[in-house]
Amino acid sequence: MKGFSGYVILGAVLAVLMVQPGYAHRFYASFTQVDLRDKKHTIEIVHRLFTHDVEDFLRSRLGNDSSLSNEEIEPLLKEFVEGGFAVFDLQGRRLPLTWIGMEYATDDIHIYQEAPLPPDPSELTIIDRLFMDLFDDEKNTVNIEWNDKIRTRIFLKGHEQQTVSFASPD
Amino acid sequence: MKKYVLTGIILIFTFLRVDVAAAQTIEQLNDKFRQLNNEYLPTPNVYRTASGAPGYKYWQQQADYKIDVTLDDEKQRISASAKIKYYNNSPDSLRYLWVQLDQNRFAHNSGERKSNFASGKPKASYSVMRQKMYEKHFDGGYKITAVTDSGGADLPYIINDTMMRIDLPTALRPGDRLDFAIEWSYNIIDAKVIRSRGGKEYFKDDDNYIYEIAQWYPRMAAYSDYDGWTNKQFIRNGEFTLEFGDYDVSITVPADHIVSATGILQNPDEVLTDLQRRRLKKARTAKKPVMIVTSEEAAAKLPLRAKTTRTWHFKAQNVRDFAFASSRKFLWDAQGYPQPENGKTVMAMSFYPEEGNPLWEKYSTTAIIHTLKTYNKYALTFPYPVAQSINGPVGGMEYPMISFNGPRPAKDKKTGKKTYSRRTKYGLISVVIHEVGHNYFPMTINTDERQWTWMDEGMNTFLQNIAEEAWEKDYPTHRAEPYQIVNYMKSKRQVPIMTNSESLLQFGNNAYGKTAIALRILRETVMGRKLFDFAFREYARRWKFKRPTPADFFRTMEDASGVDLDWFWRGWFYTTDHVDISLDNVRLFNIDTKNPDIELPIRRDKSKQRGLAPARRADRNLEKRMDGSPDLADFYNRNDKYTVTNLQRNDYTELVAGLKDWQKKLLTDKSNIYLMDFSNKGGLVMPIILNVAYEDGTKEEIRLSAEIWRKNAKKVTRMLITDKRVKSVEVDPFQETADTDRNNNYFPRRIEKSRFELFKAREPRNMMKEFETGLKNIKKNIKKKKARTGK
Repeated sequence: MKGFSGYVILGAVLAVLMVQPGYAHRFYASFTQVDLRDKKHTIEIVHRLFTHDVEDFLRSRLGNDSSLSNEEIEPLLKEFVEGGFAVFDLQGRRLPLTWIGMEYATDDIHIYQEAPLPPDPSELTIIDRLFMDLFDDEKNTVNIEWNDKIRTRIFLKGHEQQTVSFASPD
Repeated sequence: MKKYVLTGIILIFTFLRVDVAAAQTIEQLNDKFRQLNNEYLPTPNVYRTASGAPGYKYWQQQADYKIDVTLDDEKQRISASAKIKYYNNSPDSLRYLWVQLDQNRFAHNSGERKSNFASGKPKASYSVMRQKMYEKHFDGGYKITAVTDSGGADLPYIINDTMMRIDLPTALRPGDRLDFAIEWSYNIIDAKVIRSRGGKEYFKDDDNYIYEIAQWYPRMAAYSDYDGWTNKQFIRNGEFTLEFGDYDVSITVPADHIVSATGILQNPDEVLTDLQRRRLKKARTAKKPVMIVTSEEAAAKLPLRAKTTRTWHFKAQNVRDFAFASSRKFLWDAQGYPQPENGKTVMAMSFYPEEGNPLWEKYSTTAIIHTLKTYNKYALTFPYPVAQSINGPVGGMEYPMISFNGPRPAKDKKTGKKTYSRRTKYGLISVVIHEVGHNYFPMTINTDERQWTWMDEGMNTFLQNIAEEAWEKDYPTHRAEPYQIVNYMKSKRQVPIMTNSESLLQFGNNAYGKTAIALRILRETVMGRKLFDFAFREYARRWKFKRPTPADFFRTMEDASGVDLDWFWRGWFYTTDHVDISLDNVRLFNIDTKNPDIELPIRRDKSKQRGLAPARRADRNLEKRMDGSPDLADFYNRNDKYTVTNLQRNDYTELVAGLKDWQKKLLTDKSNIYLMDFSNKGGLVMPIILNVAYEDGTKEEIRLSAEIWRKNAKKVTRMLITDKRVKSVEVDPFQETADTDRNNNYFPRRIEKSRFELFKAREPRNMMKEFETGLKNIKKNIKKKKARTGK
């Protein structure tokens, strides 16, 4: 996919910065793609987080003047994402999300997770409260895709848990 | 306001109401090429023409300001008085004037505070709590101490949140001018605690502030032919709708501060040293930035803290706003850019604290000049004498001739060493390009930001991408390539670009990203660069120092290019459809020669190609009754149904005899005829771009226009006649149309790997590492998760 060639992996050190650039207004947003793969019996999850939001999160954890290596950042982000994003099946059981890894683009950080596909994936409940502790107007968009059908949910403060159904029209 | 209360509902109804009103039949409703006039675009009038230009009676108001302002460094406070000349150029008599009081956003009980909502969870981060506590105690908002007429008599006024209405004793008639005065003060917010477009930043190490002062004076609300008074409240996202005017501003600050402001400094002799003035003169013709205030000079001032004040006097002509920055921490560099377009030299200047180096001295001023060079080419010649970039607390914000840009290196607490990431570097270059680029949109092409964010942010992001690509090869652009908007475009919960600024969902993806990429697609794929670039420049030329609306842009782009773009505006700006063109099938045909000696053997071959199920294949070898009884055979066993008869040959000869020569030639043509079937799954009609690979190894690029969908927007078939045989066909091979599903772009079908699959394939799991590093965290996480979710 051509998409990759445009991204450049950062050096070994992602400095944690004091100031975040944003254009005119900053908008607080993350984007998550959830693909339900029948053939592979898995759910593939890709989170796209803005790097400056992640830096704000790290700053809120570690204070202003720290710099961290990738190896140090990954467990922090893992804990952060696993604490703020969850998927539940039809019976309300939480699906175990396996951490596949993360990669840096200049403005984005991509995070990869995987889960087993439940026997009946026609209804899923998702909790997404990434960054909501930090930013009042965080908006997280999640696309859930199954057999060419797309469901989209936007998560805001107060709407952190939402259910999607593929059985009924959206 | 009557117009805005119901924005959300109106938006939903707009589609139904207007569509049903304009379209008589269901076929018309399905016509993606029907014209926008009478449906979405306002009726042309004497102020705005049907071609998208200002009409012969176009008018706009003007407001000139003379302001004296004092910055109190001890109390971090602004106090000021202004004399305002308001020119009523409209054909209407005005009984009252509306004035914008943007600082009231930070007052207790402001409209913004009253519309804030909490998460409902009993926890919050330090930074959120810090802001909430700060808001509780901070005494924000304007303190208006006087509103008087030119004779000094009080004018009655009423303040409604961020708007003030001044009632006039007699109506201000068309062509008349009103002179009045306002006095005010306010406390400057800490922009590191409350994110905003201006404020102060405190530096603990040397006990100093940087001030970025904006939205700091009562600004005239805009009064226009299409909206009357734009007095929709300032909540947060919808920025500013302003009038042009001349500014004469005297800024009094501590004597050791350096001030940067909109406009030209009028009294350098009083506020700058001889050395600084000489350096400035040298910078005007320099080939690279010259330091006006060096690092050492700035550092020497820090502990001294002047007790006296100095007044910096600036003038700016024909600007829609005025902002300034002030600090004793500022380093200052400058370089003149002689504009080849008009021979005038623009002073590109940067002001930043030592904390901004080594990044700022290296890139900021050069990025300003780079922006002017690029934008001058695609929009209009930069009309002002100065372009500045300031480093302070604000992440990125634009004002005429001055911009606030945040990125700064990080300092290691122990070693004091400063480093910056790749992202900070490009973040700085990008934000300088973007904010300086705003001098064109909306500072010169004065769009209505409170209503339409995309008109300045989207167009500016579009040119920003071009400027970034001209900076270096493979610049890490963010919202430039069509594939970068695909995830957003296919998501379901969206609003169209043509949505009021405050009602936008996903501000960045919508107003910035989708607009910028739509314009890129328009330029590269739909119109072509020559037609697009001329039309875009024509839009800029027509509306320079004027106030265009979306319709003026849409109309001008068609008017100047001769390309009907209503389908494009309709799809990309008025709907949330996305692009997904599927190549469903490629079918091969050859011309039927009608000659039985050619056609019947072909049919026989074909019939033999039919396969048999495995279980039945063995049947063929079983003994048959005929095997032992040859006498049972007759004519029909010797000839199958494909044997050519003389009757058929005679028929053929007769047929050919009746044909004209050109018809005979066609019958013997050996071309391969392919029928390619496309379906439109996403809804947006778009050009179809094909890459056809032939069996002989050659390739052909075919570009079909969007009008191919004009009779049926859901399904279309295209014929391809060729001597060669097609091996494969790919739709949108260069990913230039933002096609969201590439799996259906190939014939024969090919499955594209997802980002997830590519990542997984590239980086095999290191289970041992995962096991070792993860165990402790996993346990902790599970406990935390349980506590959080209550499960």
